[in-house]
Amino acid sequence: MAARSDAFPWPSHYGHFRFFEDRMKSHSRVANIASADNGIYELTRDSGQVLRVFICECYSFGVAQFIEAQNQLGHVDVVIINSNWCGYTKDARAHCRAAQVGLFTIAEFMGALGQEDFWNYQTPAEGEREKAAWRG
Amino acid sequence: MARLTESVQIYGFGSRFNGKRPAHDVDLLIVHSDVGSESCRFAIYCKQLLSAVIPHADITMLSRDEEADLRFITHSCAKSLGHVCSGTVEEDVEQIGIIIADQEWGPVSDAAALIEA
Repeated sequence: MAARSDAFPWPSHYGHFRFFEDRMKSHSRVANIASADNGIYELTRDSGQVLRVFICECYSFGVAQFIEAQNQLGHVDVVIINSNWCGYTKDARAHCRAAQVGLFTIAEFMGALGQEDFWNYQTPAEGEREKAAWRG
Repeated sequence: MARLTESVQIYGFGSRFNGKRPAHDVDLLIVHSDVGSESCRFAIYCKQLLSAVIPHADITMLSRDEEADLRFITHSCAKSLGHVCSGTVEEDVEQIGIIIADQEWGPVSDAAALIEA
């Protein structure tokens, strides 16, 4: 089940985002990761670029949820959907991409970090959909 | 072109609405018209009001197209609780709060029928 929240944002169901932190610390393109509370992290890439990352647990992250997150948290560079039982909509992904904001699962973000324009990273699922569209 | 009135449909899903008691959380879905800023803003406003009147509410917001793409209502067996319209937003939210508080929800209950009754 998604984490219940009495207030914005969505706290972790388990009370921490340790899996995310461990994955980021082990990534070769990540120089540092620091928690700024409320699900916000400052992630420093090996290039020195600092990304403001918001990690959340909600059943389905849509466009309205992204707008609400921005209203509450200000600008974020990346939104990470933390849990296997949570996801995001295609519209939200497109909306975020147009704003140069990455919207990913943790696994997808691991791949996106290898790319300068991380928000444009094509996820495996998107790649499959594109191939299917070409095949007709 | 901006609509004169906005409206959203509210659904309940999860253990609170499927008879799997005890249920601490109240999982709600707001389905709004589209991903335009007016529609999103109204959905966010409704979420704020619902959060204020329904303790332990965990509220998801999706546009009609987003919901249709995910088939969220079908997959979560969500039950319709009613509409919230921009002209009657506070009364509508209050009514939904009463429906959630008063009704015993189970696998065979039909929220829409209860609302109409």
